[in-house]
Amino acid sequence: MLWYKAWRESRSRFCLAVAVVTVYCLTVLVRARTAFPPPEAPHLPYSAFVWGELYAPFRAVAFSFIALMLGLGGLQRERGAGTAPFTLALPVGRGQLVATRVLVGLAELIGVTLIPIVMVPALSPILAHQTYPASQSVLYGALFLSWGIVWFAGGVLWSVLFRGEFTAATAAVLTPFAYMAVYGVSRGDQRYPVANPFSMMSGGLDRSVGGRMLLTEPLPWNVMLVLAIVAAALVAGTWRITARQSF
Amino acid sequence: MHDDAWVIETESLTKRYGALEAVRQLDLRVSAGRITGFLGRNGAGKSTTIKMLLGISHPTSGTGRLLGHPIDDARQCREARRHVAYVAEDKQTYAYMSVGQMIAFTRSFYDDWCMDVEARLLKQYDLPVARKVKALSKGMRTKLALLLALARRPKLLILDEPSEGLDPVSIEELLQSLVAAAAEGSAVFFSSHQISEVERIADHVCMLDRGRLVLDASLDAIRRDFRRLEVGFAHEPPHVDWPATDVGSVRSTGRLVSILAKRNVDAMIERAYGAGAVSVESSAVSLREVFLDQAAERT
Repeated sequence: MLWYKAWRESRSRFCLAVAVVTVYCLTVLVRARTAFPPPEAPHLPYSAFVWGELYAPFRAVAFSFIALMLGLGGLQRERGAGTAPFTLALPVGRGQLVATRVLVGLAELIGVTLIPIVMVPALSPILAHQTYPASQSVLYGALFLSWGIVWFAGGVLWSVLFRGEFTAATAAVLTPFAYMAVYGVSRGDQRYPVANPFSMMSGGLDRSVGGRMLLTEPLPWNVMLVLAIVAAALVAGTWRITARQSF
Repeated sequence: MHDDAWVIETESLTKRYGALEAVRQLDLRVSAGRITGFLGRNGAGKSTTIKMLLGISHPTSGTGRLLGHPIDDARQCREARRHVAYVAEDKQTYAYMSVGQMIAFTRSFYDDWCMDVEARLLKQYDLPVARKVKALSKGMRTKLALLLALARRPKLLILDEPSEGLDPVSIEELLQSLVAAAAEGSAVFFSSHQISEVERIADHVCMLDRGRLVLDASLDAIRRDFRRLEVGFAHEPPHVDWPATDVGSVRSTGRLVSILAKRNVDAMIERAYGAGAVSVESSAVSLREVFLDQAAERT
């Protein structure tokens, strides 16, 4: 039943994310019927149009916010609502509470990621009278998810560090900006190009916009593994902090 | 008493919030098979103590055992919570669930859930199963929290200000439910600042003031042993070293000394006359007087 609780507490954020992403994808596909190809680039491939509308770095930033928001909630939020004593008096461990919330949130994040993966290849022929390869959707979805889980884990961590729900949400919104500020100051683009989340989520192709924007190289599994470890470390930190907190 | 008979034991249990010491060196023992009232003013440290016992809050120092399980061991504390029912001070449950969902959710965690008791309390409390918790009145929320605790046969029932927000009829039903739970074998430990409730149903009283345990006695012992001694002197009262273990408080007003004696009243009367008292009047004290006396002593 902890699953049910975690779902009920996060479902409004999840449903909002699903609605936003679904409506956005539909808008892009419907708009493609009239606005593709754009007059200023009559030879633009449809795959590049889709990339620009869905997988470009700016879109990756928006997805990062969604991932961060899905990580919020938990015991600190319950403390504000006055339900933390009830939850903590149940015969379950705090680790179990954190794990359940993380797994439900991850499932929701994957669900949100699946929307463009499914919608774009399936609806492009119907709405845009174009075709888009499903394999490309899957690959871009995997790249989005690789950093998405890190942002999500960051949101989970903020949710236990800040008591106020709005404080945690504000911290979540500021996180990508703060990260990119540090990344820019430390000349990350030159020294650690793979550490640029939005470039990686976009396939590292943002400098060749005129191309087909199709991923031809294998996914960077090593980097994705490192990101998964970073996300796991953030969740482990969350668990340790939660175990020590008094409510 | 054998160690197994204690459902709650603490040793030098302390909780600090910065400079504030909410609970100080608390040595508390609550025995099985009894109703123990945990009295104290607002902010005395009752809720903090209960939260530490349940693992909701961590002690700054000291130790404790809940049903024999150490409270500083998360796994052991979780095991203890399987057999403990708890009603928190503000009785908040999940606002987004309906009453029925809340009951089903809670039921799923406990093997000792009694469907017949659940049905009886649902009817008795007149709780609307389909209504969302957020739409319940404070009294209804309290009744739901009580149902979630009482629809089991826990070894220990811990309630933090259970009657807060209830009307007189509901308070009466609550007190009867607690007596019934105790009769069925549950130890009941409830905090309150409603002395009349404690006096009505408790067998034993623990009183906390500013984080310190200032009274730990059975109600029978309080009724039998505690006395108010009004000692009159012809002149300015002399300094008398009253035995600290026998005296709750001593207050002088003019030529009159008022003493709350906890035991050995006859010996104290003798001592008073020995010190030059011209009159000593002894009267029984109520729990209310003891409570107010302890509170006034430390103000």
